[in-house]
Amino acid sequence: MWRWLEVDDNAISRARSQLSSAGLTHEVFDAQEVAADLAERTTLSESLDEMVTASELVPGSALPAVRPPG
Amino acid sequence: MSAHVAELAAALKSGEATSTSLTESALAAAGDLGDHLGAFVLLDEEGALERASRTDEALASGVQLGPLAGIPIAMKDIVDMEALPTRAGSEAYPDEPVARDATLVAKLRAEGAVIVGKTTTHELACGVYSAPVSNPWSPDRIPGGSSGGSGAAVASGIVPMAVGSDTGGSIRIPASLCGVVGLKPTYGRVSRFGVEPLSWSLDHLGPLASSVEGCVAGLQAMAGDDPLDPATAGQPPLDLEGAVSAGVESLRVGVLHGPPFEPLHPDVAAATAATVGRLDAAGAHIVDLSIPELAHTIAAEFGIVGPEAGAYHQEMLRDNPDLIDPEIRSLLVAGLLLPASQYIKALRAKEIISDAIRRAFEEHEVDVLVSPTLPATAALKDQDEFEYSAGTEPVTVSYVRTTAPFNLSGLPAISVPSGHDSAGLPVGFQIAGRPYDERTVVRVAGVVEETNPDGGRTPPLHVEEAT
Repeated sequence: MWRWLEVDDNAISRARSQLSSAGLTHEVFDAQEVAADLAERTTLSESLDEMVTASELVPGSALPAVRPPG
Repeated sequence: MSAHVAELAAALKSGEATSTSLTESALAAAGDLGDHLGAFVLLDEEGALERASRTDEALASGVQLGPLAGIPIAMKDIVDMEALPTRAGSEAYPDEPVARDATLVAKLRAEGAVIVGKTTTHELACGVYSAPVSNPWSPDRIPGGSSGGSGAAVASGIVPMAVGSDTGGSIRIPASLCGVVGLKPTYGRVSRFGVEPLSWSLDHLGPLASSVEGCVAGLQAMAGDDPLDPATAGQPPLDLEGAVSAGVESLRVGVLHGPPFEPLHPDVAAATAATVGRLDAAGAHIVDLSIPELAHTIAAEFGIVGPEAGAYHQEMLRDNPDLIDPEIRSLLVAGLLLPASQYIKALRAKEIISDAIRRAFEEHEVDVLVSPTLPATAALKDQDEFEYSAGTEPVTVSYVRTTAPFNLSGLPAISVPSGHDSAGLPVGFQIAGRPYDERTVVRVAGVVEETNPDGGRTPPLHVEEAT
C-alpha cells in the first residue's frame, strides 16, 4: 500500500543505524527499503501539520471526547 | 444452522433443540463449509460439547441463563481461551495453550454461550484481506478484515454470532463485505484483558452477528467493568432492552458527506441514499453535514497504529522477523523507528478529530451520524486498488478511511446490511452514536435492518445451500 520514495545515501545510512540500535539485525531488514518506507510514512504524518499546530500539542487544548455528555 | 440468536434461543426454550444438537451442527458445518471457506483455524470439539452438555443440564433444571445460553458462537484467534493456543494468524506465535480465558470469554461462558472454535484473522489483526478466508458471497473475493473468519463464519450460517476486534474497522469491514451486522462499542465498553493488542489507543472488541438482535445479545454478555482493563472503569450501564424495535421517530440523523466519506462507488452511494430515505420515511429527521477534520483520518490512524504495534512487537521483530508477513513487518519496523514527535502529533490529531465529532453532534443536535460503512464492496483476493472517478486508491486505505474516525473518537459504531451492488455483493450502512450511547445506535440499526428490501438474502456459500 506504500509507494517507494527515492532516498539518498544519508537516509539509508540513518536507517541502517536505527535498525542496529533497535536490535533489528536480521538479514530480512533492508536499509534502503526501510529508509524509503520511513520517508513515505513521514510524508503521510506531515499531513497532520496543518491540523496540529504547536500550541495544540499542549495537552488540554482539545477536549477528550470519550466521556458521556454532562 | 441458519437461524439468528433469538430463534435458536426459542428452539432451546421450547425443547425443539438442545445445546448439544446445535453445537454438533455448528461443529459439523465449521469442519465442512467452514474449512472450505478458511473461516476457522481451530475447532474445540471436546470443550464445546462438554459445555453444551452442561448448559443443557442447567437449562433442564431451570437455571436462568442469558440470551446466548446454549448457543454456539465463534472467537477471533487473538482472544485467549484457556487450554488453547492464541496465534493471531501468525507463524511467529507459539503453538502452546494459554493458561486462562480472556475476560470477555469468561463473561460469554458465564452466560452459557458455547464457543465452538477460533476464527481466522488477518495476521496480527493488522489488515483487511484475512487470507486464506473466502467471502461466502463470492469465493474469489476477500471477506474483509481483520476479523475475516468471524465475518465468513456468521455470513455462511455456521454460527449466529462471533467475536471480532476493531482497531481501524476490523469488525465493521468484514461485517459490511460479508453482509452481516458488526457492532464496535464505545472504547472501554468491553474488556481487552487476554486479547492480543494491535494498538491499545484504538483497540475495541465486539460482536458480529446475523442480526442486530444477535449483536445486542453478544454485547450485553461481553460488556462491563474489568479491573484488568482500566479503560473499562466507570462506564455507565448498558441498556439495550427493547432498543432494536424502538424505532427512529423524532431522532435526528446526521448524514456524513465530504472526505473521508467520498469518493464512493456509485452502487454504494445509491444504496446509502436509499437507506437514508427509508429512515426519513420511518420518522427520522435527516441532517446533511460534513466534518472537515476527518480528512486527516488515515494520517492519524496510521500514525498511532504503527508506533504502538511496532513497540508491542519489537521482541518478535528481533527474534523472528522472517516469520512475519513482509508488508506487516514493514509497518511494524516503520512504526518502531519513526520519531516520537510524529506519534505525539498523531495522538493530538486523534483528540482534535474526537472533539470535531463531538461538536458536530452538539451543533447539529443529531443523535447519530450515518455513512456507508465502506466506499466499495468486496475486493478480489488479488486486487490492490479501487478505481473511483477521482482516481485510484489502495484497498486498505479505502476500507479504513470511513471506519477509522470512530476508532479515533472511540464512539460506538455499527455496520448493518443495507442492500447489494449490481454484482450482488453486500453493502453496509454505518451508524455511529454519542459516547456509551449504544442504545440509539441499535435503535437506528433495527430500522435499517427491518426496512432493508434485500434482508432475506443468503450467500451462495451457506449452510442452507449445503444441506
